[in-house]
Amino acid sequence: MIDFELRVAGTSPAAIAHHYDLSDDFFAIWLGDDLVYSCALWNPDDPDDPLEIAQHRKLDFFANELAVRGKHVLDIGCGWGALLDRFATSHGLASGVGLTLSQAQAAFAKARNVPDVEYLVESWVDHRPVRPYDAITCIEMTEHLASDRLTADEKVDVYRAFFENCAAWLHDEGRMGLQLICLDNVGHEGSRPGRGASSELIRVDIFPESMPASLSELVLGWETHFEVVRFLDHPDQYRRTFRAWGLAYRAQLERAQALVGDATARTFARYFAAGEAFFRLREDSLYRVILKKRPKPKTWTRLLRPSDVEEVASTADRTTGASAAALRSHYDVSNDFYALWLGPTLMYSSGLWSSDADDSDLDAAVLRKIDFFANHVVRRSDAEVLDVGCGWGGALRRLSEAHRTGPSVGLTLSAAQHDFANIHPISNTDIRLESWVDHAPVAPYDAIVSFGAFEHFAHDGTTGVERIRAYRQFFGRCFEWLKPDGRLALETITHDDAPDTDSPRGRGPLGDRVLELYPESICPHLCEIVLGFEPYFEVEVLRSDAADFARTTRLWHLALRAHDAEAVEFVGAETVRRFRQYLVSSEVQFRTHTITNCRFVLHRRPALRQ
Amino acid sequence: MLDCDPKSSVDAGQTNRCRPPTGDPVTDLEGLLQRAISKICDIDVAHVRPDARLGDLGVDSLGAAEVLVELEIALGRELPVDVLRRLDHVETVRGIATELQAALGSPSRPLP
Repeated sequence: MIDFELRVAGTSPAAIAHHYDLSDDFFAIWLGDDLVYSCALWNPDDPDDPLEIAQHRKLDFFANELAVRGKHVLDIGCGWGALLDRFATSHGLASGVGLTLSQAQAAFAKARNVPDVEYLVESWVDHRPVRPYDAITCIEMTEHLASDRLTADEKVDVYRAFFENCAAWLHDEGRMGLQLICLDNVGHEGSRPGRGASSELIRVDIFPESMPASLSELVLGWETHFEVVRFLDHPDQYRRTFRAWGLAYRAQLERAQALVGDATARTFARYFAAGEAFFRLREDSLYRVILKKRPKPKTWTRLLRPSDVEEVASTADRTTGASAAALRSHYDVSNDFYALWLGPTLMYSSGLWSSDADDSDLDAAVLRKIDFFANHVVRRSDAEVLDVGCGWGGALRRLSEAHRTGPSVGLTLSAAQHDFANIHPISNTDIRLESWVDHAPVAPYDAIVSFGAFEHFAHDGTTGVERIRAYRQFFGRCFEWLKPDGRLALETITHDDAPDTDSPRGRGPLGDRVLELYPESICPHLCEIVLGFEPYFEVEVLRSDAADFARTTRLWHLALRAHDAEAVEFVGAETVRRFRQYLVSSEVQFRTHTITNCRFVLHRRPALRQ
Repeated sequence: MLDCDPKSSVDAGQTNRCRPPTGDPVTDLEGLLQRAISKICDIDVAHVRPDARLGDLGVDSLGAAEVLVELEIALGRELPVDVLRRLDHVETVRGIATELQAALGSPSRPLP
C-alpha cells in the first residue's frame, strides 16, 4: 500500500531543527521554564489561570486518563521532556522513553535527569522498543507525521502505519493519549500553498514540511487497531494558549529580539496572532483523545481512502436506506407491546448514566440523555427543532416540556408511531409520516436531533463507500435545513470491534440475531460517520458509550420478562422470544464492544468545506 | 474534574477572555486602530488615513488577525469572531472602524 519511504514522509530532521532548535532561552520566554509546547488545559471559570498551572493540568489530565502509576510509557514527540518528567515526579511513573528529532530538545530533556526515563533523538519509524509499553502519548506531533507534499491518501497511509506500530508496541488494552491539531473548516486542499498570509506563515516560516490531519484521516488511521475511550473538542483552549504565549512574548520582546534577531522575532509575534485566529475561526481544531487497543485488529472488506469519497453526494440523489416496509415490520409490531418494556417515556434509544445516577432508573436515564443533547443544541427558548426518526415522540415531548422548544417537526415511517402521536399530541409539534428524504422544511431549524435512526439510513449489503454516500446525503440535507449557527444531535449504534462486511450476515449468531429484527438496516463504522459529516459539520461532542446501551438493553429485557404474559397476549410467544433474544444479543455485543453507542453534537460549518 | 462535560469547553469560548470586559465606552477606536495598523504594517501613522485601502497598507489575513489581537489587548474586550472572518474583506480603515464599532455596540466618534 505504501509506495514511499515512511522515513521521508514526515517532517525532515532539518525542518524540525529549523523550528525547535532555534534557542531554548527564546522558547522559555513565552512557554515558561518547563518548556511545554502544546495547548494548555485551562480552567474556564478562572480568567486569571496561570499558564504554568494550566500546562501542568494538561499533563495531569493525560497521566490520570492513562493511569500511569507504576507503568512504562512512550512519549512520541516528547519536546523538551516535560510530560514524562511530570508523570514521574507527580504520578508515580515507573519508566519511560521519549522520542524527538530535535537535538536541542533531547539535550534539555536529558538534563532533567528523570530517573528511569530516557530521551532519544529518534524517529518513530526507527523505534524498536526493548519491551512493550503500557501507554503511549503523542501530544501535537501528528502534524509532523506527514509532510505538506503528501496527498490525503498518502497521509492516511502514514497514519495507518503509525497506529499499527503503536498497537504493536502496546500491551493488551494499552492506551494512547493524543492531543491533535486538526484541519477543521479548512480541508486538505485548503491547506496547500496560496491560501493566504496566515497559512503561508505557518507552512513556510514556522512549521515547514508539516501538515495537520483532518479528523477523518486520523480515524481512518486508528480505527483498525484502536477504539475511542474519550474525545474532547477544545479549540477555545488553544485560542487562550496562543493569547497567553503572545502576552508573555510581548512582555520580553527585546530579549526575544536579542536572542533570535529582529526578523525572526517579528515572525513569531505574527505566529501568535495567526495561531489564535486559526482556532477562533475553527480553521483548525484541537482534540484530546484517549484510545484503547482493540483485542485484535478490526478487519475490512476494503480499506477506505479519502479519494474514494472525494465527491460530495448530490442531495438530489435518492438514498439507499431501509425501506418503509422494513421499518414497519419492526416498529409497527404493537404499541402496547413496546409500552410494556420501554416504559412510559416510550423512548426506544439508550439512556445516559452519570456516575452518581441510579443504575436501575431507565426513565430518568432516557430523559437525562435528551437533556444532555438539548443543553448542547437548544440554545434559545422557542427553538425550532426537527427530529428525524422521532419514534413515539418522546424526545420532542421532553424538548417541548423541559426545554421550551418552539414549533417542531418529527418524522417517522412507522404508521403505529404516527397513530400514537395523533392520539397523544405534543404542544406545538407536528409528527409526520414522512421520510427525511422527502422532507422540505418551510423554514430553517435551530436544531436537528436524531436518536437511533441513522442505522436505517444505509441499506445492508452496501459497501463503505456506498454508505458514506448515503450519510452525506443526510448530513447535506441537515446542513441545508439548519440555520447558520445550527447544531445536529446524533446518536447511533456503531460497529466497534465488529468486522466490516458487505454482507448483511456474518457477524456471528449474536449479530445476526439482532439483524433479523432490523431487516435492511446496518450500523456504520466510526470512520464512515466522520467522513459523512466532515464536509458539513464540525464536531463538538463525540462519545462512545457502549456501557449505557448495555445497561439500557438489560433493563428493557428485565421489563419484558416481568410482563411476559401480557407481551405474549399482545404479539404472541414467538415474537416475544425473538425480542428477548435480540435484547440479550445486543447487551452482550455492547459489553464486548463488538458494537458501541456513538453520540455526536455537530455544529454546522459557516460554509461547505471543500 | 475539569472538562468532563464537553459543554464546559464550549462555554470556555465565551468566558476565556484575555481580561474581563470593562464595558467602558470606546471613545477613540479610530485612533487605536490607526496605531495598531501603523505598528503591524510598520508605516507612519499619518499614512493610515480612514479612506486608505487596506490592501495598499499591507493588511492581509495575517495582518487582520494581528490587528484584532492588538485591539482586544488594548481594549480589554473580546471582539466577536465574525469581525475576524470579515476583516480582510473590508476595504478601508473606515470600513474596519465601522465593523468594530458595531461589534462593540457603542456609538462611533465621527471620523475626520
